[in-house]
Amino acid sequence: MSGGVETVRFTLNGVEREAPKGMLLIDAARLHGVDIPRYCSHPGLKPEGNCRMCVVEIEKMPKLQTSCTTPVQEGMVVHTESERVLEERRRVMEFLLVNHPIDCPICDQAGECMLQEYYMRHDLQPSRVELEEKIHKPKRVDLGPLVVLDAERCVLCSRCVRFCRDVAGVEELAIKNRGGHAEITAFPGRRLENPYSGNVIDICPVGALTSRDFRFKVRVWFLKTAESVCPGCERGCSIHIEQYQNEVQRIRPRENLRVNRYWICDFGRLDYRWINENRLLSAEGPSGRLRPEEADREAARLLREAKAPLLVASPRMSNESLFALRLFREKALPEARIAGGSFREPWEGDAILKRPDRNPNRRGMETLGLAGGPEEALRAGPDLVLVIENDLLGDRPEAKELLTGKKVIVLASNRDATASAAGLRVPVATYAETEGSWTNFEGITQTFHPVLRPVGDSRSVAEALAGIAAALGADLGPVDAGTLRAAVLREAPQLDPARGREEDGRVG
Amino acid sequence: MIAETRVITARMNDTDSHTLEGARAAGGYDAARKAFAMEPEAVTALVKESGLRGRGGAGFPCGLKWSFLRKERDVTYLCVNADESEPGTFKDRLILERDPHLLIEGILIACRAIRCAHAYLYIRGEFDLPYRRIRDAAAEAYRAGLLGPDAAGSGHPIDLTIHRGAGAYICGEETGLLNSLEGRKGQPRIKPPFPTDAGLFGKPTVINNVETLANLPFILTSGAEAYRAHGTEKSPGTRLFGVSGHVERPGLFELAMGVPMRALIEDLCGGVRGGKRLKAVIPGGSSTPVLTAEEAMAVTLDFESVQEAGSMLGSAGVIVMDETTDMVKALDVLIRFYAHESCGQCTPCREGVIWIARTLHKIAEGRGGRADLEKLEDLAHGITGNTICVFSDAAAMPVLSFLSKFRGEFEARVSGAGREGAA
Repeated sequence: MSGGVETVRFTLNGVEREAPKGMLLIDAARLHGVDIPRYCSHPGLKPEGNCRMCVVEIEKMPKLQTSCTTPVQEGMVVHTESERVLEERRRVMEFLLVNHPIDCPICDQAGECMLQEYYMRHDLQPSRVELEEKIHKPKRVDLGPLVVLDAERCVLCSRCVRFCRDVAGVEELAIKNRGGHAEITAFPGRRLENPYSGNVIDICPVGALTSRDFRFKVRVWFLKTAESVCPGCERGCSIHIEQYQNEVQRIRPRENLRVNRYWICDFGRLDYRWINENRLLSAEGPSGRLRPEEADREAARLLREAKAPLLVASPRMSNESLFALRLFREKALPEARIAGGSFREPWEGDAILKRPDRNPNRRGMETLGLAGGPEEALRAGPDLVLVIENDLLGDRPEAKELLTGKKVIVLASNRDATASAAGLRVPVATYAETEGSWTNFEGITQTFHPVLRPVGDSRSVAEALAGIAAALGADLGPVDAGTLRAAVLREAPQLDPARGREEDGRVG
Repeated sequence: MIAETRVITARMNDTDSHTLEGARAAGGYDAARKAFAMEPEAVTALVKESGLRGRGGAGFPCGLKWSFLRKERDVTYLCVNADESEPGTFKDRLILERDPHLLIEGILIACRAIRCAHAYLYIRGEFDLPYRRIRDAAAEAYRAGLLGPDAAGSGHPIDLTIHRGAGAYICGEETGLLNSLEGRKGQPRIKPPFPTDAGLFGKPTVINNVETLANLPFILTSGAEAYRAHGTEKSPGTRLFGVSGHVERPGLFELAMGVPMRALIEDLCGGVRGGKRLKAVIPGGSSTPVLTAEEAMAVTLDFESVQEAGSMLGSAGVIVMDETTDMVKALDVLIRFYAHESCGQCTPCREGVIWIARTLHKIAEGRGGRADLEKLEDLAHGITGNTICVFSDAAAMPVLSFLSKFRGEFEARVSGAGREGAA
């Protein structure tokens, strides 16, 4: 242990270990690679101790103790796999399965259900339940816009209730009734509709709370996952993007204690359809569809002919793309003006995650010297504007006046308002198809990784710029994300994704 | 022939025992005034000396519990547990109905001892007359200045809030009571922290049973020695025994602890009804293990003797069963209560008690097999000691004791089903 944290020594399954003083046993064990099974315990929620799955044997204590509520103490001798412990886990599993429907083949949680997993690890016994009928509870309960409840599958761990109360700060869910008839419910006259409601789906350990958006779309074992970052606002929550057949199917939060802990907002959770839909698949000019090299030549021609070209960057571009744009101007178009910014209106932030600025990389853009605001630059009278990943017209329709009379080239992933109005549109890949990094409002830089193949003719922004530069007779050099990042860090070491990671070891 | 020892019930037979006037005529509130003339620590010391043990069921020493309060504290709460819901137990209701001022006086004394300015009385929602009586008595006490900003002329404020429960057995469990008082679902809290450290609204809190507090006026007035003159050394004082079931004269009797069970049943209750033979006795409320007739007749009514016999004095709700009792049916009814009342928080209790209840009902209806008996025992062992509170133990103990002591009846029932050996 380091960093001045007071530690205690304890014995875990016969091996002497250290842990920070006051840490709960379940976490202290995890620290040393011992995974104690759990349902009600979640690192982001206050301890509850109701599922009894995490019980451990502590020498000199007559009863088994819940490791999720017991702090580790100096000299404690803990057994997590003793006969008594394993027997109790088996019992808990047996109790949970008395009334739980065995509908794994149709349950949406199959493949990531803790009941299934722990049954394989700790139970594996034939059922002793000889009752005529299981207790039936409501199915397909409409809890809120995002969440559907199957009360029969619920193990009453109360994670969802505690999440709403303690994290989202709303009293929307409760457990009604008692004993075997207890069930999750929304408070009378209320719905589960807080802006973070989707998190209850992720933390539900079984198939009780399912995503209305994801239900029955695809079996989870077919999904491929990549670590990514939410582009929804300047918080830049760590996320997992999951795809099947090259379409994003689901976005889930990724644990990052410095940025978003274990959560994402509902907007971020659903902010993926644009990656799948309305994509710009090939370059298009006034005469129609163009092949990539034709588009590069056409862009080069327009840029060469322009008297006062303006390059407009976006706070949605990655640090690597922004750097590539600077290279482009430096090597291929030194006479061009360059500006960065967005017309995207801020929204109301909150004290949990949401930030007012709806761009993920304003800090990176500013650090790389590209801030300035597009409005002033557009009013300065350019005759040609190259807009990159920036839907100026979609974000502010009045901006049409600013573009009137100017030639417009757009590098865009989607057929958005600006792309539609442009004379030449060149497809680029989304963040889900490329590698890059964004720097959030606190200066924390995180990398995202491709989970999809770029659709159609789309390339990364850097590749597209390199193509146009080549047509202009300039060589940008290697434009892969690694090379560009190294160049970024030579100039701005504060944009290093590795910075701060060592503090908690879990930054994305 | 034994007689009752009237300490708590001394003035309960008076017509106006529930009024302030009636209480005062019999010396009511003299003890409270005496307590306010003493230092709080001295009140606690006196109660410790008396040996008063909690009457809620666990029998924990009252003064010792008070002394566990965190020393440095800004606010202290007293919670009075009047959520009397255990089948067979009906002692607190008598105090609430007949002598609510005795309880209020006990509250004042306890508040003095623990430096509490706000007591909460949590009363079972189904108690109608007891509620009206304690409510009216509190109003009288406020009007008379016994409660309020200058409680009993002490210069200290003491308020009393009466809160009616909505009908859940588990709200009589001390931390379930706290949750319910705070407006949450009545479910127990994990300990530690103990209520004396972080209880109601997170503040140090003492939770005392109605009968426990009702003993305090006598202890203050007559002293520890006079109190110890009743009962046994380890179980001093008197106890309110609520006898129900198959006796000629069921009712509530105040006896010095240590009196033989036989004397209670045969002398005070007039023996088993209709001259029938005694079959079994549950000595301390439905959650305590059942005793056979022989065991019951050998015990004396104090914490130690009943414990030595393998049961508990608990809430002193004595349930008497004669030879006509169908023990399978009796347990079936009893466990149905527990299955209904499990709060559902912990997995073993939520799922286990209801599984036990359904299996037992199957057996009671003649549809069970021999293997069901083994399973019942196994399930009862499986829910014991593995939950946040002791409710599951309370449900398991009757099962295990009925099965072990009256096994023949259970075996006869399953073999009669013609499914011998079936699970």
